[in-house]
Parts: sequence; C-alpha cells; structure tokens
Amino acid sequence: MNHQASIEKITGKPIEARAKKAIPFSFSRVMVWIKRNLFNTWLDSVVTLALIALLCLLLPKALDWLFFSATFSGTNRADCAPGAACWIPIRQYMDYYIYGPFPESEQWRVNSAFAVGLFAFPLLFSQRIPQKWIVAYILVLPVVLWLLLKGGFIFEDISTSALGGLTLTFFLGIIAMCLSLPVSILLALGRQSQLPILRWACTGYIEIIRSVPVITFLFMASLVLQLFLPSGVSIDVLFRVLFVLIFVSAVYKAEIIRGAIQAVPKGQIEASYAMGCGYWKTMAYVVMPQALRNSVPALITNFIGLFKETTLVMILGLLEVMGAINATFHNAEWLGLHAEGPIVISAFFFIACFSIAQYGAYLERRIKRTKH
Amino acid sequence: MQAGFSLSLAFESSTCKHHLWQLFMHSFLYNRKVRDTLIQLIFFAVICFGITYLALNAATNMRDAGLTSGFDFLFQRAGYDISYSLIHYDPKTSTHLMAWAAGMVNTIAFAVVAILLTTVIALCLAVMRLSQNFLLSKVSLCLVEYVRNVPILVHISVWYTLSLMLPSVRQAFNFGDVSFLSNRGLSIPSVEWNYGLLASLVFAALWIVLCFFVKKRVSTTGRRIISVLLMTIVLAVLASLVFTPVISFTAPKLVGFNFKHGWTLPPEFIMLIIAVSTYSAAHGSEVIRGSILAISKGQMEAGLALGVRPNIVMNKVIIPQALHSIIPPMTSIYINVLKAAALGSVVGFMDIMGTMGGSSLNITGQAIECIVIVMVSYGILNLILAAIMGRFNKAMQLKGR
Repeated sequence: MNHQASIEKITGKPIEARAKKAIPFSFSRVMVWIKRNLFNTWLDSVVTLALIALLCLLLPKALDWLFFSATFSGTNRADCAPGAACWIPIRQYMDYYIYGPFPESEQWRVNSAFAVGLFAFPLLFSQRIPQKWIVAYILVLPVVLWLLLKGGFIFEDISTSALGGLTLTFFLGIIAMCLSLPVSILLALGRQSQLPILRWACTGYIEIIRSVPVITFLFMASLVLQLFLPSGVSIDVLFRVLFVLIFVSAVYKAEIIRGAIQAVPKGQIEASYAMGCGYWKTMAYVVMPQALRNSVPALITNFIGLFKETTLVMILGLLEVMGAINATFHNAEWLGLHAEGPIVISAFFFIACFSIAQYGAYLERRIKRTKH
Repeated sequence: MQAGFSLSLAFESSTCKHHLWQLFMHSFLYNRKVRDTLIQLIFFAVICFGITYLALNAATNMRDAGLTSGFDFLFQRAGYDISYSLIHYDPKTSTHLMAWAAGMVNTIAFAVVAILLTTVIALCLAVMRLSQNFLLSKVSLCLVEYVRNVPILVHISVWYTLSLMLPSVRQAFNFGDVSFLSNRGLSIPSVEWNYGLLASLVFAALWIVLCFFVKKRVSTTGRRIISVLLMTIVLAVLASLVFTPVISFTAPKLVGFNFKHGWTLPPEFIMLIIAVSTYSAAHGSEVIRGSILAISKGQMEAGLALGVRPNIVMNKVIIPQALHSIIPPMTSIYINVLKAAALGSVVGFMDIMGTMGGSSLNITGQAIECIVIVMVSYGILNLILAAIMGRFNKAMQLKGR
C-alpha cells in the first residue's frame, strides 16, 4: 500500500488509471442501446419487428431440420428420419470427400501435403521471418505438393483418376496460385515495359484472356488442344487444367501487380537508375518488394476467387470436392436427398474462403498501420 | 542515361588495349537501342515460331481428319435444337449462323436482365448494411458473406435444384392472373407494338424533335432524364388517345397443359439469372459500401449542420462523390456477369459458348473457327459494355473547378 502511494506521488496519477475501467453493466444502458440501434424511428421499429418475426418463424424450423430431428448415425437409407436432414452419407463418405480415390496405403502423403500447404499461412502471418525465406517457400511449395500428391522422384506415381475430392481442390488451388505468380509478375512488367512489341503482346494477351470466360478455356483445353499437338502426343488432363488455371488467373494477378507497381513512387525508380542499377536490379530490389507487399491483400482475394473457380473442373469430369459430394448423392441409395450435398459444399467453401478473407483483411490492416 | 553509362564502360575497356572487334561488340551489345531491338526481335521470333508450329500441327491434324478450314460451315444446316431462343430458330432449317445469332441474343438478354438485377440487389444489400438498424445490418452482413464465399457453380446448382421443385402448370403460382410461375418457367404478359413501320418512324421523329426541345428548356433546371421520360409518356398517351394504343399487353392464359399467349421464360434462364445476380450483387454491395464509407464523415456532418435532411445529403452530396469509386469496380463486376452466361451450359441454357463453342463445334469439328468466333463475340460484347460504362463514368465525374 505504501509502495503504491509512493508511485502515485511520483507520477501524480492513481495506479489503477492505466487499466481500462470496466463500465458496470446496467439495465438502463442496455435499454438505451436497444432504443438507439433497433427502435430509432417508427420505420426502424417496423423493420426490426418484421425481422424478429421472420427469424422466429424460420430459425427454429431450420435448426430442427438441420440438427435436432436430423439423422446422424445409421447405415442405410431406411435409418433416415422423414422430413429432416440425413447426414449418414456424409459421414460414410467423409474419407472419400477428403482423399478421393487416393490409394489408402499412401494417404499419409495427402496428410503431409495438407500440412505443408497450410503451413504457408502462419509463415505469411509472421513478421519475424525474412521475406527471402517466404519467397523460397512459395517457390518450393508446388514442387513438394506435386511430388507428394502426383508422385515422381522417390515417390510412387499416382494416376490422375486417383486424385479427387478435397485433395484435388487443394492441389489445383495451391499449385495454380504459386505458379501463376511468377507468370503474372512477368506479364505486369511486360505491360509496363518501354519496348513496344513486348508491351503490345502482353496487353493483348491480358485483354483477350480477361474478356473470355474461364469455362471457354477449360473446354478448349479438353476438346481443342489436341488439334494443335503433333499426332500421337497427348497431355494428361490434370496438366491441361492446371495450365489453363495458371495462365488465366495470372492475367488477373498481373492487373493487381501492375496497379501496385504504378503506386511505387517514380522517384525511387529514377534514384535506383541513377545509382547505376540496371532494369532487373531496380525491379528486383526496389520496386517488387514494395509492390508485392502492398498487393498481398488483393492477391489473397484473387486466391479466394481461384479456389472457388477450381469447382469448374467438375465440368471436365475431374471429381474435385463438389464433384465428389455430388457423385455420392447420385448413388442409387441416396437418390432424392437434394439439400444435404449443397449444404455441405457451401459450408466447406464458406468456412475456407471466409477464414482466408479474414486473414487478408488482417494483412491489409497491418499494411495500413505500417504505412502511416 | 544507361546508354551513356555503358559507353563509358566501353571506352574504359578500350584503354585497356582490348581487341578492336571485342570493343565493337561490347559497345554494340551494350548500346541500349541495339539491345532493345534485339530483345524484341528475339521475342517476336519466338512467338512467330510458336504460332507457326501450332498452326502447322493443326493443319496436319485437320488434313488427316479430312476437314477443310474456313467459315463455309456457318451457312450449313445446324441440325441441333436450342432449348430456349428469343429469335426464331428452327433446328430443321436454320444454319450455324442462326445458331450463333440465337446464342448471342440469349447472352445479351441474360446480361441486360442480370446486370439490372445485380445493381438493384447490390444497392439494397448495401443500404441494409449501412443502416442504423443493428438487426438489419447484421442480416445483410450474413447474406453477403455467405453468398460471396460460396462458388457460383454451387449457387447455380442450388437454384436449379429449387427450380425442379416448382409446381406443375395446373398448380402454378398465380401472381394476380397476369403472370404465373410453374415448372415450365415464368409466364409474363407479352408487350406488342401496335404501329406499322411508317407510323413508327413518324413517332420516332416526333420524339427526337421533342427531345431537342426539352434539352434546351431544361438545360437550366438540369432534370433531363425525368423530363424526357415525362415527355415520352405524354406523347404515348396522346398517340393512344388519337389513334390505336401504342403498346398492348397480352396476359398468359392456361389452355390445356400449357400457357398460351404471353412470354414464357424457362426455369433454367430465370434460375441462372437469380444465381448470377445474387452472387455478383454480394460482391457489388461490398464495393458500394466501401465507396460510401470512404467519403469523409465530415461531408455528412457538414450537410446536417446546414440543416439539410439526411436523405438529401446522401443523394446530393455523398452518392455523387462515391459514384467515382463505384463505377470502375462495378464495370468489372458487370463484365463478370456477362461472362457468367457461359455457365448456363451447366443447366442447359445456351449462350454463344453453348451454341457456337459447344454444339456447333462438336457437330462440324471446325474447332479453331468456332473458338475464334466465340472469343471475338465475347470481346465485342465486352468492348460495348466497357464503352457504355466508360461513358457513364465520364458523365459522373465531378466537374473540375
């Protein structure tokens, strides 16, 4: 007590003032909040009451259908309760949704691939790890994923038809993201280049690809590409799809990176040239570190788009997570369960994309904080 | 600056008694103009080589398959059915060119309706999200976040599954006896233009003349759109009173097992529009919300301090400023809507991709020509949309002092 009093004397402040004062909970404050945020005007009150009525009507029914009356355990269709969700097939095929038809003895490879891929996020999250290491990790990641999931080198080869479910979605999303980044940087630099032929070629490529739907290119890759290859040569469908995803999403990333390059003050580039650095040195050491750091939030939004776009490969007959879930509900035993499949797919995509988006928003706030 | 730098380097090396040829090559290769030209020539050569290689392969493959290149196939009989077409298309007699036209009209119709709907829904969601009402804003937040984060293909398949659950024609949902919703689609009253060509031309000429008149009159008051609309309505009412009605509506009527008269929009068309426009509206509402929030708070406070009502401050001060930053990202959302028409092939709605890039390609085997036509068509549609939005953007720019 004496000690505290002496500190108070020195600083001239009461010691508790540093901690945030907890405002006591009171009924009147709650009433004021409700009045202000729910019943401010008469129109507000009507809207609030209508919404509460709607939620009271729908929520209990929905929750009952989804959880309380739903069937979670059982073995066949007969166990399903009528008039409620039936989660039996989801539980039964869970392994299939995650691993697809991947050989069971090799599933540790999928698990380690997930671990390696997801480790990229805490790596980007950390501020202490040097940027060099992060770039190296992003460059090595596709190679490691390819070795683990597709095989080669010391691992046993896995055929494309054995890739499916979440494994395939993950594989396509991460590899396309990592490999389209260098392509997009080159495209962005090409579009900004002083050399006219290079600039026209890159601008033309970007504008043409941007104005045509991805699905057109996917169809082209599956139907038309064969025509341009020497007879006897055929490319695996997985390569073709990856190729399309990489070269289409690179265009959108190139536009993001171009914006970020333009935002780098021109004086910095001129200063770098004045110091005797050439074009590549200026780009690599002065422009790109800043431009890439500032475009990370937009690139994450782009990654979410790419991740959602991987569902389109279903049209070509590759069973990624949406195709795998749909396939089980086309099974004769579970035919007629319309809602369960879409609910699971949307829940999966919502959780995945929403959390990545929150992460992107966090990075954006951090960048803003360090700027000012 | 770089050229000078490299020249001085070259000069230094000459003082070191280098070989003359080496000096020449050194200064030659380090000359900026020479190097730039060389790089571009190499780049150009690589691209030309790649294209030639692919073209030669394609030529060989097509010869082996017994195909001849060219656009003659456009005038051959198509022979496949298009489930829904706004222009007259008969699978027995129509050509591939007609199929392309049908796909093009389908794409444009889809894009126009979906873009309008996207704008309306996005505005509603943004207004809800910005509302003072806690509950309303959170409901909008949940809707937007759910719709944004789920792939569009899932949305399309969900809405398509819902459309399969629509009642049969006999039990159709009845909206005041003028439109019906059933598993055949949405039947709406058809609109007919009741004038012949000559009368229409006179009507149009009169309208244009009046437009010029109005433009002069309202240049001081500035409410041009409202004036033109009012004038059009007055003109139409006058013409209807003096001659026959300008337009007439015919409501759909249940005859036997189907609706006669009126227009019927098939379920896949409606569901595709709903799926695509809700998905893009969720993205659009974030754009609108962000732009409105980016306008400094002081603007609203200043307006309120002057005693202006909040909704007028919103319409006259905040929105005109926010429109700057809304229009460019909205343009790319609209272009995405246009491109999403191609996803109709999943549910059986045929746009250019479904007709020219799908069925025609499979039937004729003229892959390159079909893909080129599809790309050019999308390119033109995109350019038109971008031009319209660009014009709109220019009109909305704040006039500089």
